[in-house]
Amino acid sequence: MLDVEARELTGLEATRPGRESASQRWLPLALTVGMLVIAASLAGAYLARPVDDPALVESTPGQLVLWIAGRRQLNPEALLGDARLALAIMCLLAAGATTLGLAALWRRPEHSRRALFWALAGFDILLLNVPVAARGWYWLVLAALALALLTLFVAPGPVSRALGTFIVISALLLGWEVYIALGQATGGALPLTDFPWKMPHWQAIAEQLLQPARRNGPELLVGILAKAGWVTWREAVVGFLAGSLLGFALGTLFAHSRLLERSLLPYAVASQTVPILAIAPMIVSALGAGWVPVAVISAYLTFFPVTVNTLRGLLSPEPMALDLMRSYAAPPWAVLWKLRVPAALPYIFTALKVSATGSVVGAIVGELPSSRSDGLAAAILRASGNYASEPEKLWAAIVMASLVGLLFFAAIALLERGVMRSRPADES
Amino acid sequence: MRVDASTPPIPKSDAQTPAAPVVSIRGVNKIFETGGSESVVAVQDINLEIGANEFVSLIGPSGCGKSTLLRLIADLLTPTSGQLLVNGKPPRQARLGRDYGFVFQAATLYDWRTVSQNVQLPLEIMGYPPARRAARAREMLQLVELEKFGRHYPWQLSGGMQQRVAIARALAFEPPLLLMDEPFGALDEFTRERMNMELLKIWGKTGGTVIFVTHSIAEAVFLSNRVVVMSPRPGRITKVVDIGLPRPRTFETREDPRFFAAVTDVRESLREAYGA
Amino acid sequence: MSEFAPPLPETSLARRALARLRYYLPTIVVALVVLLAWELIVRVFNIRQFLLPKPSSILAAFGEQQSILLDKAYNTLRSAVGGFVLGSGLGIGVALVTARWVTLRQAMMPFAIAANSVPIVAFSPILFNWFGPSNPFSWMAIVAVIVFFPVMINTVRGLTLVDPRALELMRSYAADDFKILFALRIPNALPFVFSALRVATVLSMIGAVVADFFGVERATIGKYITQESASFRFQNTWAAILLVSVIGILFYLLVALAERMVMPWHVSIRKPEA
Repeated sequence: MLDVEARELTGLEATRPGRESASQRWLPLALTVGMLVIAASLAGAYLARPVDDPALVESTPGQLVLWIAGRRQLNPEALLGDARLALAIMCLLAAGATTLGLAALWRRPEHSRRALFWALAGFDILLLNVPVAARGWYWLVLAALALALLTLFVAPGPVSRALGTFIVISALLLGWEVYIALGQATGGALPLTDFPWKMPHWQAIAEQLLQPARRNGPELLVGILAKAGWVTWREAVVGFLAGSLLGFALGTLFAHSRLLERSLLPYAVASQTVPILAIAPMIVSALGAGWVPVAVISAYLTFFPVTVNTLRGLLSPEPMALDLMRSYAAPPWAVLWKLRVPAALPYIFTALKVSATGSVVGAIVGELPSSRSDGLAAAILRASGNYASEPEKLWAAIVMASLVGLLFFAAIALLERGVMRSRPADES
Repeated sequence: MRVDASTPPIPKSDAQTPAAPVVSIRGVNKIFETGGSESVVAVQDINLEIGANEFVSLIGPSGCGKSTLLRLIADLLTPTSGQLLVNGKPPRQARLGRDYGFVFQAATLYDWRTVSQNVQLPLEIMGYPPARRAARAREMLQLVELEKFGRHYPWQLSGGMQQRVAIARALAFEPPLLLMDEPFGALDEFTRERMNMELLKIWGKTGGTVIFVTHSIAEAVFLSNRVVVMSPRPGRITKVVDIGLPRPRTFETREDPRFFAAVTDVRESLREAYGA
Repeated sequence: MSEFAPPLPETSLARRALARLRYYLPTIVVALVVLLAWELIVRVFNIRQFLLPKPSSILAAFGEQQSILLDKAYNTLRSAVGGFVLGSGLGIGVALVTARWVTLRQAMMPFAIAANSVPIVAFSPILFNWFGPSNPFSWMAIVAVIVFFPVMINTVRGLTLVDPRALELMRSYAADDFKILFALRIPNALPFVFSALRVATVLSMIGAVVADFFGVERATIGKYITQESASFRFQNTWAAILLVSVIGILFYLLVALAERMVMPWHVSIRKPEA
């Protein structure tokens, strides 16, 4: 049914047969050649420069090896050589991917968008590594990224969901950097460009991740954030499980008793209108420090969607299916277990996915008043305290928080795919 | 031979109803209260007896109460007044005793179970051990000629095949009575005619009584011993038409002049019902 | 039974109101029982009302602090409504623009998920930094960010999940894309949009209160909650929290009312109570 939709709506993506005009071919080819030239010359440039060139020293790998050299009392020059090689390889890989894209455009146009995906990825990686200080080279990377996006726009071939997401990410990265550049060009006239710490460069964020969290400290920021994410996630999982169990119980209860549903569901709804951040300190005071109040708050944000969807799902079987059970004189538990619960699973999984992200948010909110110094909330607070001097750290913390939520969501989605393998596909 | 059922309370055709009827309906009424001030009389003063091993069809336009009547027999609805006996017991007892199998308009198979698991559903609920369940399901699928599809999922089968699975499921626990509510209504005419043949073949092997609701005159005549014609507003039995066609019935039966005569009989009764 | 279409009930307004009351009676009873029990338990056992004061003290606190509470709540409400309008407007606008490209919509999903995983506490410092910690626009921006994604995603679903046969009908009239948009897609999307807006009302109130915690403006209900908590006057804290909740619910009901007025055709198709 939704094929009609897809056909109706794909403006960009549909390969229109027979419109293989000359411009259709040479434009993406020309753009790709441009990308190749840039990638190749960057590789060459890196290989040709000496190790103390700021374009290398200020780059992400450059800064990383300098820190390693400092920690281990090694000679920085040797390690910088390695960093230079790494950067050159990155450029060569981007060039290689671009060549693949070129080949696809020439030989198998229907695969060209898929092939160009890797080139786009390659230039995204370069954007996160080539320092802003290396003015000319930085601009080249931006240009290559723009070319890549343009090529993907005009190339033939289908756009997969992953590619689409990647395109959006890359477009946002590019747009962000271009906006900063425009802001600088107009002397801070554009909104949010008056101070450099309002909009940090993405390369700076990536670099900060690979730098020590504390000056010359033992651990890289990415390591600390990952640990903090792990701590928070553990609390979120406990809250998620508890909240889901409560949600199942309430949903089942409400499905069997309209009276209970009418009496109690409004309060479940009302519970979600209270700003949990206001109540969190009280819960922490009541339950003490530690992970328990955090899990409780996480469960608080989890149980409601699960309750509502379990209820809907359990009540979803059509009357005929219920009549069938009646005709077998099936006892109530059989109706529940053999009909209602399997029918409810799609609804329940939708709620579990929403609750996955909700539980992570709840865990972070719960950590705030309990002053757990090793969770994501603490990391965020520390980073926001220093925002003016080190804005990248807060962005890095935000990226980590969304990553934790995303991964949890993906885990549930994977579980869903496994459990509902046998069901007909449902686009929703 | 057509039997006129306009006056006597219990219409019987001569040689076909044995002493102990499988279904006995006397003076049954069903009124639906619909929340507002009005109520709907679904069926009014139904009197009917159905004997063992009969194939009886209920036919009539929408709103004549045929599905309601079937559901009253199945204890999926309770009558407002009147007496209803299934196998000599009240319908509730019959349902609890699993005396009948019900086939619905839609196959109502469960998406998350394979075809074989769907057929086993009633057996699970009735507590059959797993080995016996699986064997029985295989037998039933053989009966409906779908034994190769046991491991498939319902959505992988066509509409006609799904209904065959539903029939297999209804027969799985060997009920003496089979209730069918427009089971082939959603199928196209050719598939429907084939399914009618299939049904007769299956019925030939299993025996038992069948009550079949339909709005297709040809189908009713082809399948049944008797056709009960109903009319709407309020739902009641207008006529019971005896179908004297010999069994076994084949594709040729549909071209027999007696078939056309019977169809005309039923059609005229229906038209009278409309006029009434 | 599908054969019988029930007649529309013809009852007076008073009878309907009474029926409504009867319907909600269990809810009300539960509330009264819980409140009563809470009050009695605290009094009888003389529990130290540290964190959870008894209902009568909360009520008293509300009475006493009424003007202050309402004043501050009004400020927060303004931010909430402003952000709600901003965020929903943007969400609907972006949806209208991007609904054309299915893949773009699917591509936005991971962003929606990622955005939902980031708590307000994380991005409010950034927004305050951008627009200024006492600029009311910062509050509205924070609320707008929270509200944007649910509204956008639901609007896109509403614009695209159209019955293909309805689409075919439009095509048979040789309707161009704009006509289809206005005559078919937008009305089709309304139920989806409203359901998202209803969720957004509650989110915006909560978001505004959380933003209060991080902003510099003192005359807000969020700041009131923090300062009363810090002074251990928990009955005032609870009075404020409950006020926030009530305002959120009222906002919700307002949008639900608007939904009824805009879509009378949809909402009045009610299944008869089985």
